Amino acid sequence: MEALRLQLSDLQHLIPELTLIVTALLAALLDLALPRKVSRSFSAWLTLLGIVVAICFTALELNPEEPIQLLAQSYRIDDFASLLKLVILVGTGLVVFMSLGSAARDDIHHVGEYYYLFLPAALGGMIMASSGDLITLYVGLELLSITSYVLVAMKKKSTESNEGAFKYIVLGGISSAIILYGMSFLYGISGSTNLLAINSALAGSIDDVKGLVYLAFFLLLAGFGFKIAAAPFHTWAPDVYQGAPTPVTAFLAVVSKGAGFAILFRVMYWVFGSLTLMGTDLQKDALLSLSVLAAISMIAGNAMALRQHNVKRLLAYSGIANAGYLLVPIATHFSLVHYANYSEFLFYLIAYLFMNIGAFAVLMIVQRSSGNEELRGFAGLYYRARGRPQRPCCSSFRWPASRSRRDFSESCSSSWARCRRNSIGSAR
Amino acid sequence: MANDFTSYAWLVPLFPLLAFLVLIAAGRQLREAGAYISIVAMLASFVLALLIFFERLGHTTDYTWNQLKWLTIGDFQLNMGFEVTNLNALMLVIVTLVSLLVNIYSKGYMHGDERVNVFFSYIQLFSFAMLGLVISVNVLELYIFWELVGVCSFLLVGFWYFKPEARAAAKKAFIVTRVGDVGLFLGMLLLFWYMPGHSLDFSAIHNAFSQGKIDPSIATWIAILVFVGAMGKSGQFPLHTWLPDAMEGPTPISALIHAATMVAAGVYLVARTMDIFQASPDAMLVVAYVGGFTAIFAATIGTAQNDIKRVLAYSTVSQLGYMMMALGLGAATAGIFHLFTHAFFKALLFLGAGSVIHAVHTQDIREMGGLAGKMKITAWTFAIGALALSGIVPLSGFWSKDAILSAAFEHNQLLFWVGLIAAFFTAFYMARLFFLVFAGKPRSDAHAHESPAPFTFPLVVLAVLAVIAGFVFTPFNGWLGHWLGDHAEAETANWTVMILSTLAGLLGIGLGYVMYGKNSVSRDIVAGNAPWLYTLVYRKYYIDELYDVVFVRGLRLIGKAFELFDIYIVDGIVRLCSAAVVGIGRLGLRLQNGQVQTYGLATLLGLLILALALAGRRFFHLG
Repeated sequence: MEALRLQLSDLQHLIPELTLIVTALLAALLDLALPRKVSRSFSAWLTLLGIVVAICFTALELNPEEPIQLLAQSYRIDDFASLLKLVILVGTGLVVFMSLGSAARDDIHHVGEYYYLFLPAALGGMIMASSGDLITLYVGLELLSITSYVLVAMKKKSTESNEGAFKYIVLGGISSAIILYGMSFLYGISGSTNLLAINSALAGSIDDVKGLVYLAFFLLLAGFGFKIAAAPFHTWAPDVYQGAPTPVTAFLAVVSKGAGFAILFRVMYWVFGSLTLMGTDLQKDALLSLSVLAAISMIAGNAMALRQHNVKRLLAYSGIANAGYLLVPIATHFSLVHYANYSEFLFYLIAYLFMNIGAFAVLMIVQRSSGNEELRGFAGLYYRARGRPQRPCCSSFRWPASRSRRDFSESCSSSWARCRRNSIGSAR
Repeated sequence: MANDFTSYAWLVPLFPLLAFLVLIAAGRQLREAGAYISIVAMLASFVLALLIFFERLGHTTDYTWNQLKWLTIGDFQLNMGFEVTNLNALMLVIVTLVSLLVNIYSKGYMHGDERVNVFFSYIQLFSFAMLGLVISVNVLELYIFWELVGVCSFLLVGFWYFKPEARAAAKKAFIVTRVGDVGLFLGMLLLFWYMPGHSLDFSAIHNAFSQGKIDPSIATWIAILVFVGAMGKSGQFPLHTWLPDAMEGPTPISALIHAATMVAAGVYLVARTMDIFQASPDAMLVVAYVGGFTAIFAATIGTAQNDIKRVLAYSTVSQLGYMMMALGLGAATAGIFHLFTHAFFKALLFLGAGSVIHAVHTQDIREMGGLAGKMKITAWTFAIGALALSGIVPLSGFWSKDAILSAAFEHNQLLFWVGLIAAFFTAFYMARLFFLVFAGKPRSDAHAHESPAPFTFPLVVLAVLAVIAGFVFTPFNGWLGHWLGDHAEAETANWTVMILSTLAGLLGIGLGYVMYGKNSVSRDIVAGNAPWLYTLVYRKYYIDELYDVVFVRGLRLIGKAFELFDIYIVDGIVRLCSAAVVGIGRLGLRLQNGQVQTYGLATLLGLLILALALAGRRFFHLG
């Protein structure tokens, strides 16, 4: 077997990723070298700059004449990857942007660190989107996961934040283990970590190792299901979402979930649900499993969201339900009459990105003016902050103005809560 | 002759619509200006209507514009537009004039009401609908405005919705007229089905029916159904019950909608589709007899009512009966002529009543009295209106009633005597009303005084009109009949009829005077000697009670049954759904206990169950 080597000329295809690495290193070094009294807000702008440059480079890579493959298919730069990278980068950028006004006041003591940690996380997501090999895929996944664990724990003095981070790391570890276990079966069957190679091996020898293939599939499904917070692998999400600083929650809900879907799509499209396995029991069962997972997520997520009072938990359950919706394009496989799955998936993901980041930004503002994350904080929002819900990102900088209106909010009739009470009342 | 103004007739309804939109959009900010916007809009409409009217004086050909495509179904195309005939032009003037005066009056009457601009916006919407109805080019367009007028009536009757009576009256007005509307709708469907080319245009209807292209039995059905619609709107027996109750609305509304304009829409509809009725002698007979019966029936009820507005309301029902009777006898001009004069003196009477109510704060005539000295203008104008209504020479009511009675005298002696007796009762209850309210001594200690100018100005204008409006169509001057294109109208003076009707009127007034003015005959002469008769009339022949037993209770029972179905079956399913969702949520949340080990276990169990359920069925050949 020929040794795999990364040529210097290949690096030009990795410029977006390299940009993030360079920016992260620069920010880390500056953070380390500069004296304590220098404000760390430069870190935010540096991070944003890195992300914007990376977005530009990624945009230039769109529409290649043919997909670029590095290291024997283990890293692919195709439009699937590039578009998802754009989603990841834009999402990360917006999250950093909305952190600008809040990080310092949010009990986050290591502001510099807080910002530049988003960069490796985004990098992990980008690697996941581009990987065509189990190894790169796992590396990307862990890069994203581990950075996320740290980000969740950023509020060092907050018990909730620490509790969330602890749960996240333990359960994330379990899911990583499950994924690795599943991957090991695939490697054992096919003798390769390359997704296409695994696929062709499966197509040839499926009947001999049916049990093992099924085992591998369900293990991977459970692991990825954990990453995208699909029921019944969602249990971590509410606690972690609640504990994390709000921008980090938005990051988990959008970027982390989007990257999880990227690998799920890649694995499903190339391995278990691919055209070479068309019509086999394995393909049918794989798609059916995804459909079942989607259905459970939608029903359970929405039903549980109905009973929440904490907005962050509510949004966590909403994220679970949305994972169900996002699973649908993957679960309904390509056919002659239906081949726009990827467009549908991406369309929903982009809409989901803006919806969710917007929702979290609004939550952040309301949280400040009302002092808690409960639904009742939203009561009378129409009266005390007209127009604000419509432009959440812009107004995240202007939130101090709304603090003085806190008293007003108390006296406002809690129409929201009343509305809710009535609907629950009639439900009984 | 040019159609300079006629071609802009569509602007007439547009002014009130614009005012309505402005008032709806900026009602609260406008405050006092709302009334002026309404008055100016109505003035613009009135001026234009007047110009159109003068332009049409020499015309007999209709002006039609129907280029607005509304519906295209297969080959069938329905166009909307507007049409100006001489009848329309006359109606435009009546509606805009009365509406303008009522707007001015309302500025005084509704002063201080919190929702005064809402009130004005409703009036504007009503005026728009009524004017649109008048210039409609086909039956469907008329029907649309017909319903819109009904909605406005509902809104305005229930304007003081905090009064339970007003709410009930609004509902009743809406539901009872709706019964009639169903008839009109069915008539329209039949018309659509049988008309050549499915045309609903009035001109096409005119041609088809006057040339006898429609089978007479079908024509009878269509005519009867259209008449049912007219009965609902114009308060003809047996659909008259809503009109007296509608007096719960503000008095200007009673004057505008429930006396002068909207209730005349039924008469107008019959006159507009006269060709259909003329194709069917049976339908004509029905119209004539229903009208005649309503005229005498409502007039007798009017003699025993104690609410000033209710007396006038029953008088309105009775006069509408006269109009219908005239139409049914083929004397269309006489019917329209009575509509024309009645609009002025009945609006005058209602506005006068409003002025009285404003002064003494009660509507019960037994608590009034001696107001003539304190409210001179109101008393004089009211007297003119009452005399006109009683048919006293030479006021307008005399000429129009005479035209109807002459027609009845020639065609149907029975209806002539019915009309004559009704005229006697009319004169009697008006005399009773006038003497109780304005003559004698005050029966309460209210300090009444004359109402301010916004009240009295419309009263004076209407009083003048009530005096002179009759001269456009007298036995000596048949101009109106020629202009409206009704050449069959008799122009010879029928002295018998004139003398008899004058006698009936004078007799009624005289009896009223001796009973209520001079008190030389006991008031309780009927109530004392034949209490059952008095009670029967006082309770309005128990029609409301009858409807309650026959229709309302049965319908309510059916409604209750459906309500039970709704509560237990439909709501039950909804509750089941929500209970299921809540249950799932509760079950799912039981997992969320905060323990990492539980979470891990849930993940593992989920994986196992999923794998066993989906893969297991393959391996164990279960699915």
